[in-house]
Amino acid sequence: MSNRYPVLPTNKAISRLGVAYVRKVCAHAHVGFTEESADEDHLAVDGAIRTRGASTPVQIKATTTKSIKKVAGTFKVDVDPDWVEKWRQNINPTYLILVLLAKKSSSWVVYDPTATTVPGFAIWERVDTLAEGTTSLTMDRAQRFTPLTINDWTEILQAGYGPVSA
Amino acid sequence: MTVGAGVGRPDPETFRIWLLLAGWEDVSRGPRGAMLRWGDELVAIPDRLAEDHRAAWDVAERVAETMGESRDFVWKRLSSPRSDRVQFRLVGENLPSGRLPLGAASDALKNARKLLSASGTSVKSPTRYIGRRYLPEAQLVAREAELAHTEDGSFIFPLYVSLGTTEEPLRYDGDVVFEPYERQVTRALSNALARSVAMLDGDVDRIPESDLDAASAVGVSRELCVAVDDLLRHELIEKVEVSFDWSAAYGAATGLTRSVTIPRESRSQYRRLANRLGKPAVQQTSVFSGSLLQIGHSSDEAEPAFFCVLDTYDESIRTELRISLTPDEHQRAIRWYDARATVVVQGQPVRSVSGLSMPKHDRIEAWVTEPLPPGGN
Repeated sequence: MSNRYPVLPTNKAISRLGVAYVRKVCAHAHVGFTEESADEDHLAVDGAIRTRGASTPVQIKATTTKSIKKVAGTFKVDVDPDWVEKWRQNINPTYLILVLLAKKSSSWVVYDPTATTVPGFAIWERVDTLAEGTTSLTMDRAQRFTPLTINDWTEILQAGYGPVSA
Repeated sequence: MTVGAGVGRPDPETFRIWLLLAGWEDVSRGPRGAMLRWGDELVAIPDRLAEDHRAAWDVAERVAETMGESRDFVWKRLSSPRSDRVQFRLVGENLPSGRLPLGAASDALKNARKLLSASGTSVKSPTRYIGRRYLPEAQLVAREAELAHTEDGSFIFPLYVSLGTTEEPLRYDGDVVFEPYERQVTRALSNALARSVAMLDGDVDRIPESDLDAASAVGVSRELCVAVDDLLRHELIEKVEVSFDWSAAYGAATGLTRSVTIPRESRSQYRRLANRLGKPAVQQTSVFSGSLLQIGHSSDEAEPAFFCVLDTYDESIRTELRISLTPDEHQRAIRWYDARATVVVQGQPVRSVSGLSMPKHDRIEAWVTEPLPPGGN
């Protein structure tokens, strides 16, 4: 399934799909998401999850891989030292979300009669606590980004401001 | 994320005090900052807010949404907390929405400026009739007040008066903070407007001279009344509402006036009041006004003596006036002090080497329009 009249180049389309994936998880978690417009990405952050109390900045990276089902263990992601410097300046916990998608654009989303499936997944790593000069990051296949992650992040965020009940 | 030019550095602590005054509650405090609550909403105020513009903007956005305020206003409170906002709202059923005849608009701006100049003059040299003797420092405050974007609704224009730009705040006993002159000006304007409106309740021609003198001590001058009358001149304006949002930088300003509404019908009374103020009688006693710096009692148990110290002006020179109080007045003064209310005292001052004092007074009162805590005024 593909559109005969594409507007976005492939890499841009992949990045849009990555943002859409994160938005979907946020909506599922009953939490809002604010996206920075592309030209304002000066803090190496694509958006903010509207967690309770204060927003959680996130950087979203989307990429495709040939054999999405075979991805296992950990893998390395290169990060720009300038981004690291900017993440370190954030006063609230900040995360990198990596969205992995199928290689062929026709398989990015599968439209079954009763289900719309994205063959892919997203994993995360905290980045505001990275050491200065970090150039690559080891990400864990098991650390998936789901609505439960947003729970955990909210608790970590709020712990910075003292014990909050409910 | 576009923010106006000329904003200051976010000041989380003053902002937090302002939020508490506006009705937020403290929930908790942790290593990163404080958590506040408004109903079901939470907002985290980081201590290092000034270092993260994005987080600061997020805070402003959340607070604005929760309170139903404009984002720009909350941002202003966060980024330049040391300013008072004086907002003029011109109301008229037949005013076109969001617009104002240019004549009425220029009158409004001219008179807003006059009101500040007159109030600023009254702060240092209280008088019933200013004439052309506006103080240059008062005119400076009026000239430097900043007009912000007009807000939606009737016709609303906010003025921001930056505090502490002409003189640095001094500390008194390391505890009480002296208000800067600019705050005294905005305070005087709010008091004078509220006081003048209250004076119109009865027959203006029957107001005793001593009451006019007392009113002049809180800033009611002939020029102020003329400016109010002129502000309402355009026939489409039915009333003007002046509201004040007080900076939290000098403590909890709970004793200060929040809003004064002046209807068009008051114009003729304002003109009569202006006339009476323009013909001053010989003043029998002196009137001083200001905020309280200190309340105390002497340690002599045999003869307990209560007093308060007023931050005021004596012949245009900033002075501390020590006033003797009865035990009952002392109790009231404690509440005035906490509310940072404006206190007016009328009596015969005594000048000595130890400073200005008033062992006996004819009257002492606080000018507050907001309800004070239980057992107030």
